[in-house]
Amino acid sequence: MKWKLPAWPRVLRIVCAGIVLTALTGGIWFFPGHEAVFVSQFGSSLLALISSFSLGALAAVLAIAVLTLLLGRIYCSVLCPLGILQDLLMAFKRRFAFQGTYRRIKYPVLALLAGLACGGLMLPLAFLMPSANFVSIVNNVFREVCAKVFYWFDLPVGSVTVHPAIGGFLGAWIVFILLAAAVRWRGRIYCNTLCPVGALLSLVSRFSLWKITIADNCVSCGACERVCKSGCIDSGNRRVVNENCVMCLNCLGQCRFSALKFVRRTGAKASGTEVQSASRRDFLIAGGALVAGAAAGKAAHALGGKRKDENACAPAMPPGAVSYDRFSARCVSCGLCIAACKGHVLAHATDQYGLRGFLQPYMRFSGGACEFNCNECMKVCPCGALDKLTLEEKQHWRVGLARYTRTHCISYLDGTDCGACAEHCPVGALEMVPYKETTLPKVNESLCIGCGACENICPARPVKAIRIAGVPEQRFVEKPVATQSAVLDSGEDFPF
Amino acid sequence: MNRRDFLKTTAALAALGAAAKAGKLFAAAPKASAGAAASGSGTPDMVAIKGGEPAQMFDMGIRELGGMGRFVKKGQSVVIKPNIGWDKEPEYGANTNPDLVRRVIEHCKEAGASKIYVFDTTCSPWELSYKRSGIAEAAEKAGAIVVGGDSAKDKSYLDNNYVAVDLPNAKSLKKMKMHRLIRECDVFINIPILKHHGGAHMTCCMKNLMGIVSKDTQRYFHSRGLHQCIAEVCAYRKPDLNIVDAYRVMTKRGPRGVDLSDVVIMKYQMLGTDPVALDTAAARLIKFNLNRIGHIRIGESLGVGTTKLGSLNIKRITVS
Repeated sequence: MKWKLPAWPRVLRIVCAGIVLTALTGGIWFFPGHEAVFVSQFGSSLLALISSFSLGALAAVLAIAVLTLLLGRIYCSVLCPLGILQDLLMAFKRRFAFQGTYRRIKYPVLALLAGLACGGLMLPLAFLMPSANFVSIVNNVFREVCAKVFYWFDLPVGSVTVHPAIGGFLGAWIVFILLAAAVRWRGRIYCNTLCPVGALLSLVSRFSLWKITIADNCVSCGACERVCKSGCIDSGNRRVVNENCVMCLNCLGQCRFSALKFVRRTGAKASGTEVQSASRRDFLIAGGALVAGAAAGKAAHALGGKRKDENACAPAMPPGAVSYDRFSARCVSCGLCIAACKGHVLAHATDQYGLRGFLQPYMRFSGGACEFNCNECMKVCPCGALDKLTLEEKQHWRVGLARYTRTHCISYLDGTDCGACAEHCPVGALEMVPYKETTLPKVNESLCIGCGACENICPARPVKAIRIAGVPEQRFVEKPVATQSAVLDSGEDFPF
Repeated sequence: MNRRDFLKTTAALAALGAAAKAGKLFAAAPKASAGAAASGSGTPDMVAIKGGEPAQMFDMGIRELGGMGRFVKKGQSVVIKPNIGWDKEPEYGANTNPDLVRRVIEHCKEAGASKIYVFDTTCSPWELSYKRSGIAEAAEKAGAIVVGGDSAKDKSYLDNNYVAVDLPNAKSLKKMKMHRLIRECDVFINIPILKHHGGAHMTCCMKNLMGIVSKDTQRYFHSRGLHQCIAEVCAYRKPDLNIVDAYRVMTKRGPRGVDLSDVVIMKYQMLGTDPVALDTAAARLIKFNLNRIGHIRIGESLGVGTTKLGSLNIKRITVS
């Protein structure tokens, strides 16, 4: 086979994808504070638009929809980080083949996921959201591997790990391995069967203005089909299933007869393209999936939705979550907040919220505490699961309540001074009251915001003497009054 | 540090160099009237100053003690240990005054120190405390090397920068992990801020040394008798010079504090080599019961210093 220069549209696509991948990875890893780049993600921005309207999300959703109407699913190749990641994993796979039309399964899948989400069960959608999976893979797979390598080779590089909880760590690795296997097997099969964003954009791209088409001088040699990652070119029948095409543009330079072109659609039925018309059966299946999903979501809500142990030590939700019902129906467990958390307190849940909330973030006070001067989690949440409180509001926003058990307390048991909990309390909700030779903490519940500084620092083991119980409804505590410092009379003599 | 901070630091350093050349940097300190109670002659054991600004009081105090040259010889490396524990602004009195830290660094430089490190194992994440306290910026501008102090999250940092120390003669603190700089440096300068403390009752010179050990060891302190461990770490490495920042004093709800009502502006500073004596004076200043502050008593019994202020030559200065 003759060696050829790659076609320029493909090169352009690769360059754009490289820039986007770098920006998105950088936004969570190298340049914390720039997580706003994730507004470019269709799925999370659409969810944000539904849960809490914002202009940024609206602009992003509209822009991507228009882009898709013009150029097809170009989003899947240059803006979707999980798509770009799959393209990287594809580096060693050279041959692809047409994969039939069974990929229409994506519409019932989308309908089912949407139904479940409407019913309040986000878990399946969260598992299949491309951007959420990308963030989770970067944080729990790439950063962890990097941290280990740096540590083993004793490199003088700061901490790169986000100290993942076991659930998030395993979840991300499983997704990553499954994804790599899927890519190895059938290229971009995930994007055309399970991905909810892919399915949505497929619906739009059916009406796109520019399409890949095959002209009549095609000899069905199969050169284009062999490089088609999404298996949408049927060389034998000279047709392209455009709604499956992710616009990688790999095929463009392949045709020796220039039969394959990326052109503006002229007539209602351009030759060599195929728009599969939806039959009544398709509508029925999709509609059925939607209704079944909604019912199943509601059922899951009623059955397994109760949080584990409502009284003793319920997990605290990130600030801005408001209530678990609200939060769980919006959060896609991407973990942007977890990576942005300056107190290292947020972590992916395993069973803390019950099965329904698997991987949704909770406050793991063994790992850290909610920093008083930080509201990053709310700033970075891409899908509107966390209300955007200002820093001042958040400082008096209760996410939990401290509970003190003196039978575990070192000062009570050993009679020695400790006071670590009161030391770290940012709102003065812990007072050390005299007890025998030492002092014990007393919780002032009207001030406690449940930041967990006390639980995090408590030296008692194996069970900490002070623990945070998450509150079912987050709310404001008493607002503090403005104060001033007293000034010592300088006329006084030295006291020593 | 990001690029902007780096550029700022570089610019500030250049400006500083220019200023020093012009001979304007170390301008004469303002007039001071020696207190009536100034007793004895020769170099005092302790200097107590009130009524001035932190940097200005330090200029006067260190001159009374014989100048920084008495503590820092040419070419020596210095570690400065302020209290940078909390992610709070200077006016809340939770961290050492950044201007005081700056002035101490400038004096060390003038005395010919080869390298000056500023370091603390903080309570809040160190990036946050270093920044919000203003100390990182002030120290870098003055030409010190700011060393991060978190050891809880980054295992490689912990292993590379903290060394295991055995104290076979200690009662509680048999083993600890201490920052390697403390062991490697020639001169160790302690700049605590005086505060109320929920656990140890008061934090000043001795309690401030809890910031030279790793976070694991700090937890060990709390679980094995806080006062005993504090006294023992002081006995292991007594600072060469202590400067007590009692300008803004947190008199309640310490050591973190909640709002400005916790702070009393006292405008004091005490300098000396004896951390026990300085802590005793500080306890009198803040009107705390000395008997409740166990580490001072234990420190005296371990020979770190004396609580008998009457036996010391104390120079008292009021800035007019």
